[in-house]
Parts: sequence; C-alpha cells; structure tokens
Amino acid sequence: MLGFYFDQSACNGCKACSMACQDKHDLPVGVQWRRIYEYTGGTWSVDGATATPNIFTYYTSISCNHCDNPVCVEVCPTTAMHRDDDGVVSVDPDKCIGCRYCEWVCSYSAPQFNPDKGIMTKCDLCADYRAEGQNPACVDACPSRALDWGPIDELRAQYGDASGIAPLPNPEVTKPNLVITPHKKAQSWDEGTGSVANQTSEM
Amino acid sequence: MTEVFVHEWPLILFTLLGQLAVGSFIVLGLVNVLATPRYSAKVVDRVADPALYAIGPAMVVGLIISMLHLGNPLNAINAFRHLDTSWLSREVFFGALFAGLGFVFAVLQWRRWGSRKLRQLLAVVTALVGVLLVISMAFVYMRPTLPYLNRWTTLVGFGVTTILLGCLAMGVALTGSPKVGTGLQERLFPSFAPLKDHEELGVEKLLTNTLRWIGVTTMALLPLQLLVMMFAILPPTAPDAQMHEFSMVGLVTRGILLIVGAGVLGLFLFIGGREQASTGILLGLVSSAFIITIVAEFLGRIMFYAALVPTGVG
Repeated sequence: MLGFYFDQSACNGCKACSMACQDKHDLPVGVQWRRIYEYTGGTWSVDGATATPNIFTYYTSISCNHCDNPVCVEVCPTTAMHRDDDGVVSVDPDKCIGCRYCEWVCSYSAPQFNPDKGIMTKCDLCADYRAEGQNPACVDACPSRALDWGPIDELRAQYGDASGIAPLPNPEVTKPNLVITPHKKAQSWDEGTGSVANQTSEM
Repeated sequence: MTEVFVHEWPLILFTLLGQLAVGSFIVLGLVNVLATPRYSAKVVDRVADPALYAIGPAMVVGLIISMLHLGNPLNAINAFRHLDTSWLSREVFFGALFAGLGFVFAVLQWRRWGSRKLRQLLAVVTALVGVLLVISMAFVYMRPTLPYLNRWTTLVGFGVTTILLGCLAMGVALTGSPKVGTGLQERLFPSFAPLKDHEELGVEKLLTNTLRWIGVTTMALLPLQLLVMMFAILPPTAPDAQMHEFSMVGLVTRGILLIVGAGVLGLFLFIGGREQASTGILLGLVSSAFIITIVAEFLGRIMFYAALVPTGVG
C-alpha cells in the first residue's frame, strides 16, 4: 500500500508543495488537493513575578492519505470513489455525480469538488508521474525535503508510525497511510489545546 | 446560517419533503386502519382518498430538487450503484421505490383496481419502504467522522419530524379537501358516488375524530423533539471535533415555534375535534399548526446542516 511521509520538524509552511500540486494538475482557485495547516496555541506559567510563555506553532502539509479504511469509498453512492490494488484512492470521473458526500465525511478534506467539472477530484499520488518513474510533484517541490512517498511498510520501517498529530484526527478511524516525524512541540490529536490559524486560506 | 441555506437548500428541502411524504403516508394508513372497523368503506375512502394525491407530488418534487444538489445530474442514475455500503445509495433507492410504489398504490386506489386486501397490502409495503427511507436518511449523516450528527438525536429527530409533519399535512389535506368542491372531486375521482345523509355525518365525525388524535399526537411528540434539540447541541466527546457555526437564536426560535405549532395549536385541535367544531375553524387551526411547525423544522434542518462538520481538518 502506498502512502506519504511528512517531516513536520523540517516544514516551514512555505506551501511550495501545494503550489506544485495546483500547477501540475491545473487546479482552479479554491481547489487544493494539498493544504498546509498552521496549528498554533500555547499557555503560560507564573513563577513569583515572572510570567513565562510556552507557545507553539507548527505546520502540517496534508493531502490524501489513501486510508486503509477510506470512509469516502464506503459512502460514495456511485462507486466512483475507489481504491486500487496499490492502495491509491481515486475518483472515476465517468461515474461521479458530484454529490459531495465524500467531501462531507473526509477528516482530511482530501476529496475536493471542482466546480468547472461538476465532479469530485483528489490526489492520486500523481499516477502519471509515477508511471514514468518520477516522484509526485509535491515531493519533488519541497525545498526542505520534508515530503516522501512509497510503500507504507518501508516508510514506517524508516520513519516510525506517528500519524495522529493535531490538528489531524484520530488515525484509528480511517487508518491513514501516512507517517509523520513530529515537530518538537507537536500535540497529539486528542490534546487539542491549539487551533488552526489559517482556516480560511486552507479550506 | 444563511451560507448553509445557500449551499444546502436542495438537501434541506429534499429531506423535509421526503419526511413529510413518508409521514403523511403512514398517518393516512393509520387513519384507514383505525377507522375501518367503525366507519363504512365509503366514508373512509371519501375522507382519505383526496389526501392521498397530495403525497405523491411532495415526494416527486423532493426527489427532483435533490438532483439540483448534484454537480453532474446527468450521471444521477449512478447513485444506485453502491447499495452494499453507501447509505446515500440506499436513501436514493428507497426514495425512488417509495415514490414508485406510492404511485402504483394511488392508481389502484383511484381506479379501484384489485381487491381491497391487495391494496392494503401494497400500502403496508409502501409505508415500510418509507420507514426505510427515513432510516437511510438518518444513517447518511450518522458517520463516525461527523461527531455532531453521529448520535441518536439524528435518527430520532428525523423520525419525530416525519410523524409531526405527516400528521399536520394530512390534517390540512383531510380537512381542506371537502372545501375543494364536490363537483371537482367527482370529476377527479369517478368512484365518488354522492353520499347519503348518515354517511355525510359519518364523514364529519371521522374528520373531527382524526383531528382530535392528530392534536394528541403532536402534543405527545413535542417534548420528544425538544429533548432531541437539547441533546443535539451537547458538545461531542471526540477531542478532534471542530467548532461549527451555531445559532442560539435559531434554536430558541425553533423551540418557541414548535411549542406554539405542535403544542398550543395541538391542544386547540384536540379540544376542537372533541367538541366537533366547524370544519372552517378546524381547517384554520390545523393549517396554522402545519405552517408554524414546518417553519420550525425548516429552521432546525438549516442548523442540522450547519453541524455537518467532520473531525480533524475535514
């Protein structure tokens, strides 16, 4: 099963991955197959007359995680949303009716409605690039080398198995094929003390 | 809230009209079943038949409106392809089946084709398909990644709305149909022979009795719906739930409208029915109750779609 690796400790939120995706797939404004969430929060402690802030901000670059339990595939009324043998979840444009049900239930905003086409669209790990032996566009565009892709077993053997980092959801529900090297101040999905600071630009 | 309405109005109208149609069919069926031992078939048919023909258009209009939600309606037939796992597929299937069976039943009833037993059997099957439609509607939204909607309040809320709107819509149709004019009715329904005096009295008695029970039902459902509303706004336990747009003004307004429409006017209907008030007064009461309640449920449905917010960054 194929998946993505993301090095959160190396990401500076430059959005080159998102732009490369947008450009490669010629996506209209408002359709973002890869998005970068700025998660921010913090607290402070008071010791005598001294208040010490303890704040954090980190970025999470997220596309489709080609989940092992893809809720989008389960709910799709048309079977347009499907999972291939290599684990890649994609949309059959001839079957899709654009009902947006997959968009409602995905906790990662992976399926996105393309108003120009009237149907759902999403990341397919750059199937055409992969067929030519290239990397997905986002992976090669990252100046920090924070993204990688490949068989999820190999990625997990190399980078560990963390994927439940806030603001991402509980990974037990959809079982994403995603591995994250957490930022040093990363919070677990169920800590939830921060909030997404760039909600409007990344929705 | 306005934004939710702008985006989701086809689904708001489809779910409300679908539930109204299913509820109406069930209520009309119950009127038939409960009235048959005490009134002649002629009286029951005279009261129930005209109302039957109001249900089909509501369901068909709902189904057509639901297509406006689609980005690519030309492919709409594909929505039947995933019945084994998709509740949306099942919703579309049961919706179409309910409309189809309802249409066949209405034609048989109109022409008096087939025995009464056969028609009753078909009506029961149609009603059961309607129940499955409402259950499917609820499970479309009861998904593990939708923490605000994945609770019992969705199923029970849809069920209560179904019966509430069904009761009041049928109340209006049953009371209002004699006002359409007998001439028109005789042309529309050839099997409508003129009634004898004692049968006319029977019709009136059945009407007032039905409205009395409709009043009792809406009053009984009111506390249940208020309970559903209170539980539905509790914050979900999932720590990865996102915030959503919530309107306290909308919630309170809906509550007040329900108390007036289903509670106070329900009580008046009960009293009016028991005292055998004139059909003019009863029609005024039941129409007001229907309009106020449907506005309340419309408001509730907008707030329901505002809560359609998945976990994580969805």
